[in-house]
This record gives sequence, structure tokens and C-alpha cells, in this order.
Amino acid sequence: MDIILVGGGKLIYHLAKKLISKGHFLTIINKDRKLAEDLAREINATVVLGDATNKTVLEDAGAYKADNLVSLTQKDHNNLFICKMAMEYFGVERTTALVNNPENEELFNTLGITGIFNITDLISSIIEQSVSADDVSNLTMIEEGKLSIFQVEVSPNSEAVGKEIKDIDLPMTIVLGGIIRNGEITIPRGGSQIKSGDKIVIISLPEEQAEAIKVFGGEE
Amino acid sequence: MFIVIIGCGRTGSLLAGNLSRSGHEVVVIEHDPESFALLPVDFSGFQIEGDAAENDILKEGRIESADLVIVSTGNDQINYLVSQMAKVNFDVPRIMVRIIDPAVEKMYEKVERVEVFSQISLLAENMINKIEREGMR
Repeated sequence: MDIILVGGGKLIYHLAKKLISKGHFLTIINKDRKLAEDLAREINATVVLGDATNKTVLEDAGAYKADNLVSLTQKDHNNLFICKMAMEYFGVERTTALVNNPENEELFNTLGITGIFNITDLISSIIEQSVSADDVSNLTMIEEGKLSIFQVEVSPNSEAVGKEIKDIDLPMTIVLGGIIRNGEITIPRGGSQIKSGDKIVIISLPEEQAEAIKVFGGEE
Repeated sequence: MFIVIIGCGRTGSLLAGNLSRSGHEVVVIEHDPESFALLPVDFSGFQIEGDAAENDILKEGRIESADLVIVSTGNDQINYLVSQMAKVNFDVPRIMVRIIDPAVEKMYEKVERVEVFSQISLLAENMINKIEREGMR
């Protein structure tokens, strides 16, 4: 894919390396001369020095043939503008924006931005979880955090201890992906019994995560 | 009419002063409090200090009941975001947007309820009209 990356500070360096290693063709737009020079030297990508809110700069970066434009600046108004300009002026089909103010997520979605990274919400939900429960670890998020996979250690005072999975009262949207007991992994069935100290891998919507933690973590 | 004006620079303050003088109810939102000094002494509307790209600040200006919102900051990107917020988040019936760089005009082409005023295009158009009219004589 032809991808244009805009802005991004240090994040962009690592992101660019990853994308290149996966075989994508990258063009990076940055208005900081020093950063642009460093990127041009260290990364196998075309680097355009300039302000991406300027139509001519997007054109120079080859926007008319880009498959995806990713805008990662610290300002929501710039990210929205750059993505919309790519869509309206150059027909770029997929655009991805960093959203710094969580309230803008819905607006960006309505306006047709195809990928949205709500960085503030992502980070705060991860921090919140690691603060609130030591025995919960987040394994990964899928589709920008719409689905999360995480692991909970079953506490001795959990209501699930000694029960079979089919008898545990869990929301339908929570799926158990694995039980880790003494280093052995088993794939859970309705008849699998939960023991204290088990580690359960759970797949759920982020908003259901708290419910799952309550059931297995045994806390209020 | 109840009119909310975003940005109290030279353009916003001139609009706010004239519109309030002709009897409209006006609210001006501006992040730099010093800019309110540009308003004329007889301005009788409200001033709200804050970032108009925050929903809470727009709500403070009662934007949801505005008949007209005029977005007149000196930054095309901020104007785009705020005009879309007014349209999508608050369902404002009519939005007028000031445009600095004429290249930006096309961004609003398919956006309903939004009218653009591109200062450079207007200036050039005015001058050209005058030159051509005089050329006919």
C-alpha cells in the first residue's frame, strides 16, 4: 500500500519502520526541518518537508495515488483538516486520524474518517486498569480498542471458584479464550471448572471488561 | 436573531459590534481575553473566554439555540473543525465561515447549511469588477 504519514514526533519513527518492514511504501510529511532530515537519513521512505494542511504539500507527497493517509499531529483540527483534504481533493479512500480530545471521536467518525485513534481514552483506560487491579493484564486491543483481550487471575473469594463455566453468570458478550493453570493452557468448555489461582484469558468489549473482572477477580 | 460569533479578532469584533448595534442578540467566543478590547464600547452582547473547539465552551455560548453561527478565527483548520462541530454536534441551521486561503473553499463544497466567505477571493472579485466596469467606459 501507498501510505502517507503526517507529523507524529518520535511515534512516527517507529511506526514508519514497522510499516516499511511489512512492505508498504511510505511518504512522511513533517514541518520540522531537523526531524524531517533525521527521518530522511534513517528511514527508507520519501520525506516531504512542509505543512500538510497545504494542498500543494499533499500533492508533492503524492496524495493522488495514496491508499491511506495517517495524520498523527497533536492538534485535532489539523488531523481532521488534513484527512478531509486528502479525501475531498485527492480521493484518498482510507484516512486515519489521531484524536486528542475524546469528544471528537464521534464527529470524526460522522465525517467519514475511516480509522480513529482515540489516544487519550486508550491510554487512560489502560492506566485505569493497571491501577485498579494488579491481577489483570491487558494482552491486546483489536480494531483501535473496540475489542479487548485480557487476562484475569481468579481470586479465592471469586463467586466463580468451584463452578463450571456454564453456571457462571456472565454477559453474553464475554468470551473465555483460555484457562491457564500451573502453566498448562486448556481451551474452556461449558463444563470446565474454575479454580482459585487460574488465569483466564478473556475476550470482550472494553465496556464489559469491568464485569468480567468483578466475576473472576472477586472484587466489588 | 440570536448569533454566535467564534473569534474576536478584527473580523469577529467588527461583525459583533455591527450586528449587536442593529438589534441582534450576539455572543462572542474567543480564547484570548485581550481580544475583547477590540469590541466597540456600545457592544451589548455576551463575551465568553475559551477554546471554541471544546463542546463545553460552545454550550456555554448556547450554540444549540443559535439561528446563525459565524466562524471567523484566523485559522482555516480551526474554522473547519468548529463549523463541523456546530453543524454535526449542535445542529445549527445556518453557519457562515471565514476563509483565509482560497484553496480551502472546495472543502466546504458539499457541506450543507455552511456558507463560505473567502476574503481573498472577495477582494479580488471586487477589484476585478471595478476594473472591468471602468474599462467599459
